[in-house]
Formats: sequence, structure tokens, C-alpha cells
Amino acid sequence: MIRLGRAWWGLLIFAGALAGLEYAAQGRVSWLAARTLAAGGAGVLLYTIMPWRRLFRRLRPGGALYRAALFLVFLRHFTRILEQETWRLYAARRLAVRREAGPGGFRSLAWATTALFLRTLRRAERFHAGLAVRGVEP
Amino acid sequence: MTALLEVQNLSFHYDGRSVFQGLSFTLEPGAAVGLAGPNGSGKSTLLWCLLGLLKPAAGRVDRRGTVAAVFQNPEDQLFMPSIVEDVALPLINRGLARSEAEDRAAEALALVGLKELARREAAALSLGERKRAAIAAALVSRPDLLILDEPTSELDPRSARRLAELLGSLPAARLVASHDMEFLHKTTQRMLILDQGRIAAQGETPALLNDMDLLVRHGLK
Repeated sequence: MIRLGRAWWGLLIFAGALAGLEYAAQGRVSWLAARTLAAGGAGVLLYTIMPWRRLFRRLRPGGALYRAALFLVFLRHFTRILEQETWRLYAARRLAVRREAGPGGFRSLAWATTALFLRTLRRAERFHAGLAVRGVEP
Repeated sequence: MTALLEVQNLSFHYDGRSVFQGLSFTLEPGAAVGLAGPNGSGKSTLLWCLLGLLKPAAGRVDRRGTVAAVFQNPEDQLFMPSIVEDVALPLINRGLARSEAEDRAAEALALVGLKELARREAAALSLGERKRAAIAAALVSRPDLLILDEPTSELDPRSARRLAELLGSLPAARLVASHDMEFLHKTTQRMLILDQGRIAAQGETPALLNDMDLLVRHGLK
């Protein structure tokens, strides 16, 4: 449950930053961040409450349910990646800044959040490449 | 003998900057080739081009036979609820019966010494075990060529030694990109040194590793 809680934090920060970027770019916030949060959260929740291990073995490979289950596994894996990157980055920031609040602290927070997007994108790219190389295209 | 991998005049550009240019080499069945070079020399980019994940700006890559790859971070390749499912997944996706796919996955896991941990999730394993699981996931398709990117990064010496022994026992040809000269010495017969976008040197691994000036010149010592 602790790991799940951390995953929620990662999702919240990601969605918050997304909304912030939207507001900075066009002065309004669409439903994109809320939908990201809802989709990620629903995925994590579904993964947690469903007995996937047993279910997976009963599903017919290639079938719609199998694909849906596989998609949820990807989503859960990616949420974990997001969680790891979030905690690594914000732990590094906490160690690097003298004061977490205040102008310098807020600037470093903004940089850390931007870096989170870049790192997550890079990890997503490598994850997708890992799948493609093994012939498992989502 | 027909080459498994034939690279001709390969060039790659990123953001208008040349990463490498005019690379040519071949890899024969059963060969074990090391790819060394300083940080940013384009080793990983070259591997991605060889795997068809990146499109080169010029040149061609001819691959014959099955090619499998193990990335630097095994977490990029393992995501299923257990490692046996991770290893079996590509076979199941290709239409193999689940029982047969899992038997072959168990064989591959036994080969890397992880049979006992087959039902564990990758996240519950040590990094060395995860690396071996990623190798099993690559071996399950019985590749003719195995490509490994920085296989010893973050591994302790014992895990690196075990990995070298494992690679030495595999019949597949290997292309190993690494900074770890000791590992390349143990696992490869031939070596290419990539620096400043070109193949700076190539030859037998022991001969290149004994040339201290060469290694220092290219940031490898």
C-alpha cells in the first residue's frame, strides 16, 4: 500500500504539472490533467483489486480481455516508473537546495518537475523499444 | 560463411549533429564482438540502429536470423506479474500454446540459473537477477545474435563474473557494448572502439586491451 500511495503522488504531480503547463501556455486548463489522473488512478486501482495473476492465465491470448489485461499491466509498470523517477528526482532536489520554500526552492521545484517529464519520456521510449524488440507491440 | 549482421556506411544524425558516420563492419555466426567507446560515442545509438529502432541517416544494416537484445536497465524489459510470464510473453503473443511457451521460458530461466525464482515478480529480484531474467527473456526466442547494452552497469563484481560465465556458455553470436574492459576481455574475441563518430580501432580483444596508449587515447583507461 505504501508503494501504491507513492504511485498516487507521482500521478498527482504529473497531472498537476500538466495542468500548470496548459495554464501557462493558453491561460486555461482543459480536462486533460483530470483524465490523466482518472485513467492512471483507475488503472492502478484495478490492478490492485483484481486477481491478475490468476486471471491472466485464464484469458485467451490475443483476445480483447487479454489485450485489456496486458494494457493494464503496461499502465501499472509505467506508473511504477513514474513513481521511481518522481521520488529519485525530488529526493535529489531536497538534498541539493538549502531551503525548500522561497524563490530558489520554487525555481528548483519547477526544474525538477520539467526534468520529470523528460526522464519519464525517455523511460517510456526505452520501455516501448524493449517491447518492440521482443515482438510485443502494445 | 554468411554474416549475421552486415553494416555498411552507417551514419546517424541527431538534432543536426552527426552521432556517427560511415560505420562498416560484419558479425559472423558464433562470433563474440565487443563495442567499446567513451560516453557519448554513440554505442547505444548504434545498437538501436542495428535493432531497427532508429532509422539511420545513411547506410544499411542487413540482419539475418533472429536477433534479440538486452538493454542496460532490465526494468525496461520486465513488467509482467512473474518473470516466467515475462519470458514466455513473446512466444504466447506469436501464437505458441501457453504450456509450451512456459516450458521454453522455464528452460531459458534454468539456463540463467533463475528457475527457482520463476514465479517471482522482477521488482522482487536483485539487479543481478533482473539482468539475468532479461537475458532469459532474450534467449527464449533462440536468437542467432544477442545484443547487450552495458550488461555490467551497476552489477557487483560477483554478478558480473557470473554474467561473463553465462555469456561464455551461450551458442548465440554476441555483440556487447560496454565500458567494462575486464568483462569484454572475458566475453569477446574481437572488439571495435567507437570514438568521435568513427570506428577508431578494431581487432582481436586481447591485442586492443594490451595497447594502453590506444585505450587512454579513446577514454577507456
